[in-house]
Amino acid sequence: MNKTLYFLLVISSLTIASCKKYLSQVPEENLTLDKTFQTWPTANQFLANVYTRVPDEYGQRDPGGDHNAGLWTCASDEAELTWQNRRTNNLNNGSWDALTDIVGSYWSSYYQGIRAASVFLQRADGINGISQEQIRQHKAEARALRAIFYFHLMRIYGPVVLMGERPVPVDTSLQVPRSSYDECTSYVADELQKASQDLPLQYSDVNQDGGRLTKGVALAIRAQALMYAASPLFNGNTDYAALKNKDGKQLIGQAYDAGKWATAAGAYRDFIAQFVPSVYDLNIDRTNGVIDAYMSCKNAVIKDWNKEAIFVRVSNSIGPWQYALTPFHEGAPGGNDSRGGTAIDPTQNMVDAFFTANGRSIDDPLSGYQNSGYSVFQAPLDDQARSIYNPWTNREPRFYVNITYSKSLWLNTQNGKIYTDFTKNGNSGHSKTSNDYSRTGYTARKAMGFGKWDFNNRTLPLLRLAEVYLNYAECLNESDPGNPDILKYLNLIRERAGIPLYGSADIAAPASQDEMRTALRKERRVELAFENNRFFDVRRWKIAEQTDNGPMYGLSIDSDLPDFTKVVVFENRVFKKQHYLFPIPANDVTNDRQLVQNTGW
Amino acid sequence: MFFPAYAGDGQILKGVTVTATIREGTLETAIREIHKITKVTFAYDKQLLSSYKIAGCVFSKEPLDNVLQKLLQDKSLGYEEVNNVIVIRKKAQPRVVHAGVHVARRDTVISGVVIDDNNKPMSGVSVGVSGSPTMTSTDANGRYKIIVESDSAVLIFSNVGYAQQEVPVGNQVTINIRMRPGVGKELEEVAVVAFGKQRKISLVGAQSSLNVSELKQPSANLSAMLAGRISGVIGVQRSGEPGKSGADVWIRGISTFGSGNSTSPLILVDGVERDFNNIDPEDVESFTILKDASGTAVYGVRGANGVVLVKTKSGKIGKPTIFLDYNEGVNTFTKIPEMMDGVNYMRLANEAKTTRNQDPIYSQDYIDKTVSGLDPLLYPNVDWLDAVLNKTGHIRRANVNASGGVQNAQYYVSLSYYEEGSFLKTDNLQKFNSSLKYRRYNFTTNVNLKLTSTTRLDVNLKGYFSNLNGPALSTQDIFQSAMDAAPVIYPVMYPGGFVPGLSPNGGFRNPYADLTTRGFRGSNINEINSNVRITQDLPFITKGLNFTAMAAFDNHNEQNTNRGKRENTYFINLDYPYNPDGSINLKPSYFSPNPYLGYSRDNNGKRLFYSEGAINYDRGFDRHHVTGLALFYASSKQDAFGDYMTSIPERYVGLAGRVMYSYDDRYFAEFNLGYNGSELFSPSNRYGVFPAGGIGWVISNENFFAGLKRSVNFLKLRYSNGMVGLGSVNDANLRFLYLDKMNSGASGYAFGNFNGVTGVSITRYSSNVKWATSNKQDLGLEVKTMDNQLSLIVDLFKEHRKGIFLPRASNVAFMGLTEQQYGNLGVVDNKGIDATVEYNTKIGRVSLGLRGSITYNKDVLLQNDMPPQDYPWMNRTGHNILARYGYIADELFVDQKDIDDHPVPGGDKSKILPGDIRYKDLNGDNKIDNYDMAYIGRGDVPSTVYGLGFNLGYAGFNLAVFFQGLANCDRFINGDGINPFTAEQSNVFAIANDRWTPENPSQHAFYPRLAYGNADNFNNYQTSSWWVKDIGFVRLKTAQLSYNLPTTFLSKWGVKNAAIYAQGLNLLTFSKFKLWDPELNVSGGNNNNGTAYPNVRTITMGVNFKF
Repeated sequence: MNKTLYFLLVISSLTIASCKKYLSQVPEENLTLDKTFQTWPTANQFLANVYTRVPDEYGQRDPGGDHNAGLWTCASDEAELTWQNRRTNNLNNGSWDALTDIVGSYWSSYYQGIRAASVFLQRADGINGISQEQIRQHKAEARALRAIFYFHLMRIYGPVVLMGERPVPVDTSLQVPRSSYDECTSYVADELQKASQDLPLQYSDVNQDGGRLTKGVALAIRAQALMYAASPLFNGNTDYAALKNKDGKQLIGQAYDAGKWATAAGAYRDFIAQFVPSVYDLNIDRTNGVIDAYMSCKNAVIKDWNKEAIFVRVSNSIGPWQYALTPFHEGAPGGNDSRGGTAIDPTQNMVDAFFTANGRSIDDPLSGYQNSGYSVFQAPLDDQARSIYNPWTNREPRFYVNITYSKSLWLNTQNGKIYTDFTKNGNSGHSKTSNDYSRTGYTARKAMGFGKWDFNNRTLPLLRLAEVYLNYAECLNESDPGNPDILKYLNLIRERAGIPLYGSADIAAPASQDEMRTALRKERRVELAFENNRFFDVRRWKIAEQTDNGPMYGLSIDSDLPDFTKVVVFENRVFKKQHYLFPIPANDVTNDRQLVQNTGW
Repeated sequence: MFFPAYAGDGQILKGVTVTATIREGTLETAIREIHKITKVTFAYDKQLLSSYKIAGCVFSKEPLDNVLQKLLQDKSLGYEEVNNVIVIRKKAQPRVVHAGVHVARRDTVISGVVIDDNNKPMSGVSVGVSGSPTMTSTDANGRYKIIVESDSAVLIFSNVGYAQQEVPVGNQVTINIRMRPGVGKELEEVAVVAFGKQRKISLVGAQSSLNVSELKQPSANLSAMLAGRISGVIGVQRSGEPGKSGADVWIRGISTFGSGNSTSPLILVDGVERDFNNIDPEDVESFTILKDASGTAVYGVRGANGVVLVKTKSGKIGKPTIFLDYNEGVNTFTKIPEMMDGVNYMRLANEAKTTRNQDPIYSQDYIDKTVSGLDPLLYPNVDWLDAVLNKTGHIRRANVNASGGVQNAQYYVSLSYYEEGSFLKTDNLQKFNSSLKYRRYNFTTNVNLKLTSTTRLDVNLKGYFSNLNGPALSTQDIFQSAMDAAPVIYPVMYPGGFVPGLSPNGGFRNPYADLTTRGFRGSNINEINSNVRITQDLPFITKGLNFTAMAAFDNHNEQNTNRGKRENTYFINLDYPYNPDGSINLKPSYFSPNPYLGYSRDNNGKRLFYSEGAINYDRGFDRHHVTGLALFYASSKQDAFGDYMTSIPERYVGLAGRVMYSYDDRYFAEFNLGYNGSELFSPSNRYGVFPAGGIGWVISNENFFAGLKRSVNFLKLRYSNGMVGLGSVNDANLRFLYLDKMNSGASGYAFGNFNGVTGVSITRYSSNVKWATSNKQDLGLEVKTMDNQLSLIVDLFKEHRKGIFLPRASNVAFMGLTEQQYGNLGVVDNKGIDATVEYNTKIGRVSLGLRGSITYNKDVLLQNDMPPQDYPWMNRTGHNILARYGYIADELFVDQKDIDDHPVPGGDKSKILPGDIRYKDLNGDNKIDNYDMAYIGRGDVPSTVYGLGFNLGYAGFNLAVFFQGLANCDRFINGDGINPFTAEQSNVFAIANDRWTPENPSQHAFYPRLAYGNADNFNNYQTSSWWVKDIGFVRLKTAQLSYNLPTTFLSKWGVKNAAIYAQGLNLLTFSKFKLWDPELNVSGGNNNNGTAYPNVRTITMGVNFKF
């Protein structure tokens, strides 16, 4: 009896004695924030996570996410997304508001990137194992990224909240107002300017560091931010007269200031002077010394590290994007290699925007455009002439770079030739598939390579020199109409595209500022087609109420020939004044009493 | 020696002679032996006598007087003969009579006969005097005699298997009693409490226990049996799937919110945190829930959601008893969704298009051909639920147990088998077995040993092995695909076993093929629970003191295997459906990447080690009674199959203390203290103190109440108040919130030649949170009246819980945090009432028992860290925790003018037509947006659970019926099928016939105007009050008819007792909600369309024997 008792007492006292350690079993060796910034490999991983917020525009099937995949292509008048249950459709039919997930997704993701960049800036000085110079450069990357994220937010939401240099404390309830659009712009411009000083012109080993931010990226986006600030949406836009903070501060300037265009034009002029042609130049492929316009335009987008690319995203959703670009191709050789989702469907509006081979719009009587009938025609890339519907013959090379139309030869010929057919009973027609048919009778081709769609290693150009030229020309035309640079840079684009230059014997130069504006917009629409500019361009020009509202046209996909080519309305889109800017996510407007909602939401 | 003055003449002592061989043992066994031989009635305190050891001795024709003298030698015991009864008791100390206080003393002998239900005398019934150690038992003729000291004494009659009765003596000298059966009622004398037992009368806290016989129902899971049967429990059964049919159980509702915060009670089986669902009901001895702070404070940071205590059976002294029980039956669904037939489906799909000026989908010719039914391969018309479901499944259960024991050793061993089949179909063409079947084997061994006169050892070993076989896909998946597939999309199967399919990427899966052709899965679970307890009385230190220590070790392992495949699918060639020879012309539509059975597995395992040591003190001094408890425990549970963080053991250590004092069984006071900590919190915040106290007053034991005692037999008031904590999280991701959390596998980036760099990001910054605390108060009233036939227990409760850890809702997204920071931010009030009423009576040979219970709670969210909203209706505070929010559906648009006059969500009216839902513009800004979202429903956890049952017995027949009801709960219905045509080609419920049409523009239609596709349905399928449906119900939960075979007939086979019975579960349901079983939950959030394995109705027949 006493033995038992003794035994029990010993056991229990042992248990109690060890109880302090009993609960202290915490994983001390786990990665912490402090440890992350002790060595470069983990700090680099942290920086890579900041980079992740750079938009992965090819991921439009599932927009948003921490890679900020866009939804811009099919939410503009360029195209329609075949898959109807995607967010682009909410934007197109007006069924979205401040609670819609995608509205919150970009907002929080870019701000997460902004915070992470600030944390990096705050702690990078303590990184061991790399030089002070390297630290300076990586900090500049973080600084530039942070400014770029602000710029993306501003394109989407207008004036935003500026969070300052250091990450804000976490256990607080912030009550801060938005800054005005001009304040945001100057912050972004200053930050990019500052960052550019520590960024390299180029990386010595592009195979190692390609895709990291450079001086050129920082300054090109700086100019872009200035151009946005000069554009009608943010420059004297009285539609936003009521957009004021609670203290009455006007968030979008109400007086038009043409000087903003001049500032932007200056930034572009400096950029071109500094980087062209030493660092950047238009991608031009020549065959026997002659410009091969088709391959030049194609390679400008699909050739890694070509000289035209300024800002590229190395890892991206090229595979899913190519799947979406590839038509269904039932029964085609190669099986899944050439069988895709038929998902990015150019509208007839977009198809009609391409010039004819002689560089004119199709509604120009001199264009020679025929709206019916068939001709024997050999398209670029095709090895034989075939009977093609007239509207798809004799168009400019960029038409063939960008549009897959019925009876066109598919890019991937590795397993044999495939001629895409969108008619009802064609290999990619509506009768063949209930999900993966084109809603317009076309699919897009931008950035489609020549092999199978299931391919993952190709860079995504987010900004290329052609856009810089067009932006420069636009800024000049608004601030200094008649400046010869306008025509010069516009014609550089046309020259590469293989169409007659304005002011040449074939076609007159636009005479007035207005005519030039129209010409620039037309050129831009086709040069940058499906590159996520159109969505924002029509907004900053304040023409979206015309371009993105009402009927969208396509072909009669539920018919075979001949009725197939009849142009019909496939969708009526909804664009109202409020849609120029996304709403601020409802939850933040509720939580931050200083945060005012965008007008109309 | 002190002898009372009225001592008798000693006839028996002198006249009766004893011839006996007394074996070594206790005095109590010796006296019993003498009683057996001489038939002399003795009165004594059984416990007292048991504590004396005697050596063996032999008597030959010795007078009883001499025998007793010898036996009681050297013991502080005396004996006397009183009215033919030999009373053995302590030698009394000379009584001190205080000046001025005269204690009325009138020693009286009370005698009588105890009979049972059938008017037969009962032997061995214990008869005691309340508040005194005097005790005797009835003889073979049911007679007893006992001495009481005053006429205010109360006699207590008790016997295993019978309801205890308390009878005030008054001026009676003869008290005859009829004992009424009542299983488990012996527990009324002592109640199970935290870390021990306690006299029931002394409870000051709110607790309720279940009549364990009610658990014996044809269901694998005990939790499914609780709602309505035990006051204070809110329970809902979310699925009827074999092996997964456990119910969600809350005690007094939900007082916590926020992800990761557990709302479940702490469940202790034999004192250790364990799941109780897999215990065989036959093995349960008691089932108790502790509802208030006085009961749960000792559990500290684990106790705030209430505590469930389950005790398994242990052996009793007596001859071995063997019990056999077997039953078998069928189960079927309580309710399955009724789907639209193919022809009407097409008509409605067409209507959804044409009513919005679009072209119909199906041609009249196609519909006509489907109606004709002549070519079902080309024109299919399938009820997918019918295609996957058989009408019935099968259920079987057996239990055999044996118990018994001698003075120093008792045992209970039990073995059970449970088997439940499903009503999911299988396909004979498949070579594998995919039938859904659950089997479970349970065993329990409880052994109690008395090692020395002061040392006890209890060893308890139990466990189960279960096996689940089923189709490779989860039933949830299969039911979901049955909702996804339209009835006309393709036939069930093509001839030759070709799987029909339409989509080249394998979408629009075939439900029947999903169920039958895709392989099978198996799940084996083994669990062993063991407890070893040693208890040492310490009389040499002081009387009433003991030390006890317990160690428990549990091991749980689980192997899940899945052998799955996917077959190629085919679709009929619409251009040339048939070959010239008449065979069907199929073309492949989808090539499966895995057409042959693959293999995947998933193992899980947990071990738990628990130890506790305690010092107990329990002693009465005259009218004072004091008990005390000091206990230390430590628990460590590890699941090593998770990741770095989750595999760190979950640990608790704590001290628990309790002091109780009672005076004269009238006044009771108790103080409890929990001091404990868990590994979840930072070292500075790790431990907490949780005190609770309570007082009780048994008014019916007051002198002034004596006059009322005949009409009100028992009346007690009690009140408790205390603090309990809640520090447990059910999300491993939320452990160690006091540390920075980095994600080393975050999204990264690639540089250069596609050199991918994995990202590192901050998931969460450290925050110094601690447990939530809950202040609980309880006011209880217990009444017994009508000769103890009617009893009522009512409790009012009130809880204030604060510091609930929550993500900071006030944080704005533009702070850029990946996960919101946690803080002790939430505050909730919860109050309510629970009550039990019981009535037992006997009219002639008919016995009747009624039992009802009700639980009602009202939880109110006071703070959730959301800033004040722009409009009052947007506030979450002031509503219950699970409240739903959305637009308020006003009515359906009447005409174009109506549409022009009112805003719609998103603002686009181009698709709005009369018959679409019009929402209330609460803030009047002519927009329907988040500013118009208001409270639209309570959620699917009811505020009120009630039950009512009766027991009717007549001559061996017994009918037990129990109804259960849930009220004040609702479901937001949405998802494929229930939202017709939102997803193209999805299935549609038959209720779609009840819809708004231009011809029948009813405002009360179930559906608004139909539409096809997501965009056109945008307006109508907003989260709104239109889709919130009341799921309250009353159901005939169980009914049982049994017949006890006459014992005379059986005794020649050695059978003591035998019964045959029929029982049913979920027999009838009455509910306004007709779409599917109202209790059924589906995957939550976005999928409330009835896609879950239905709850089952079971009917079984059984027999049991007792040897």
